[in-house]
Amino acid sequence: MIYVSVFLFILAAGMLIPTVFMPSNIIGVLRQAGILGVVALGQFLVIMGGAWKKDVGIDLSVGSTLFLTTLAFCHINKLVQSDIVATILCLLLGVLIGLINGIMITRGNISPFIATLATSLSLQGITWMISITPVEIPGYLIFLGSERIGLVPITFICFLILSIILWVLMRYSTYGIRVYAKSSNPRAAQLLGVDLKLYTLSTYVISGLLAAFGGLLYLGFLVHPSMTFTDIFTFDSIAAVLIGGTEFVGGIGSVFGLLPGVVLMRFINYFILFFNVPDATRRIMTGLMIFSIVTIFVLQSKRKRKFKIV
Amino acid sequence: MIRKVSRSIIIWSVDFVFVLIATLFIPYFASYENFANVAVRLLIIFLVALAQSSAIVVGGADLSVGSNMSVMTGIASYLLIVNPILGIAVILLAGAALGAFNGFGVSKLNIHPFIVTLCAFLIAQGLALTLRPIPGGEIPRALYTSLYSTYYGIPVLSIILLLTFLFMFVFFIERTSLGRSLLAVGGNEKVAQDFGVNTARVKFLAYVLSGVLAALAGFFLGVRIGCGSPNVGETFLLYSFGAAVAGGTYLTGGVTSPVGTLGGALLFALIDDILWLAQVSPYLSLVVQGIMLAVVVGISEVVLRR
Repeated sequence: MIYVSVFLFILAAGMLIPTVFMPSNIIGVLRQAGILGVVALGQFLVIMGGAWKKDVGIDLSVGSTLFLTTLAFCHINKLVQSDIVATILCLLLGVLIGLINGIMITRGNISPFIATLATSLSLQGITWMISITPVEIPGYLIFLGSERIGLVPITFICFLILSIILWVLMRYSTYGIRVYAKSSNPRAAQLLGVDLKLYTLSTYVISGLLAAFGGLLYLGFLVHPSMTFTDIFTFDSIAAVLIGGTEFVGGIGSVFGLLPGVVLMRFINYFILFFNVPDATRRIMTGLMIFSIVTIFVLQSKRKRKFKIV
Repeated sequence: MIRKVSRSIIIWSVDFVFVLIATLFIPYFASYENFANVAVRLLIIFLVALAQSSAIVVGGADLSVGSNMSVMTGIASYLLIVNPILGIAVILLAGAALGAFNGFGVSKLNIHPFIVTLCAFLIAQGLALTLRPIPGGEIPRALYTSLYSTYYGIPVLSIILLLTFLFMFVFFIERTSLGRSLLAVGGNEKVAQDFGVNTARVKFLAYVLSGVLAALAGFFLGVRIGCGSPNVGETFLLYSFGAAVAGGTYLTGGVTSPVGTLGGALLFALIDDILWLAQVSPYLSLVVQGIMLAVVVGISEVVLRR
């Protein structure tokens, strides 16, 4: 359903502005969609399984984590003089951030929104405090971030592979089934032996890890990191998850819905850049878009509920 | 349920300790000028914390309060110099409109408050940037001086405003049926509904109130900085949550304490002031504020739950 809508939307846009179908534009959109997609996978897991004691799961720190990673890689690389070690340490940084979020939420009993907001602000502050160090970006990162196979960028392929892994995980593994159970009915899940703390914590850790990985991909794309950074990842990842059909309160989620979600978000982003739409209007549009899509979903499910026997 | 004033003792004690430490370690803190500074910060944070507590008390949250304030500084920077009364009226109406958008989404469309107010946050941010891409405009200096003016060292106007808003809110939440409905709906929505409370309408009005109070906070913020600025309100979102929760507002809804919220607002006003006086870099301040938010909320959840 969502695939069809997004496809039609892109078609319609293409009829208005034929340049939409230019290969370079398609590649650009898919490339950015891949990076956003990696982040959105983490956000998906958090929204599905990161709820804690009646507070909905959300990760507002993904954008800051991503940004910090792009700079941290350079500094760490300069310090340890090894690409591999720097990569691993950056991914561990993501894990650490996720751990901090998760512990604040599960042990500190802080609502995910506030916890990840606090983390996000702190990370932003830290990012601004460290400056840029020019460093040679390793070949494999550039391959992942900037290269493509035909029309399909490697970042998008990374996203697809990770999506499939996550889908299999959610559907067929014990972990996935328990996350789903916890999302659907936490009390029942607890009674069935699901360790709520552990599973909640794990979703934030994975989200942090994926955000860091996204940062590495983004670095591979940018090649030269920059201090000017508008966070186009945090809210767009949330939007992509919602567009994909995941219910904010948990219980319903779609991994493959993320695909049209991220493509749509980045497609719109290209439109915005094309028309030189000011940053201001872009935010208004994102807000209105999330609102309308969620409204459509809610109204749709309301119709279904009419036939429910109470 | 209104938390008894005595329970706010905890947060006020923390405030006292902070004031003590600041007086001892930071020069210039214990001066009349700084007192006025803190009072104005307190006024702004208190109003936005009340706004947030209105939304929290019905079981939700309002993520748009910060950008709401930014938009209002923008509006203020255009209108106040032309016609102050008109300016304030437009600001309050705009706040109500934003609140109505939130309320409509939450009560009528049944969308989760986070999502609705998140959208409002983005939209308001966009509006703020449209109005004032860079800080500018002019807000009458007279308003600024009257707010900061001291009489024998005491910022009379600020304190009068603070107490007025406090009493008005306490009266509203304790003595009016709408105020009590807010508490009822937040406490147990199903039961409130069974008792005949129009929960949808109550929730809608709670968000409108939040929007209006945040707009008011934005007005005072505009007066304080003297111009319109697009992202000046961001940190206040953080403060609004911290102050409300530290003051005894339960995040699950149904419980709030205006006096406690004032105490919580004072805490963050003091933190803000101390960071400013100690000339901490804005980036480090951000980190500190983030950590303080997490710490304050975490401790409050544990301590005040008893």
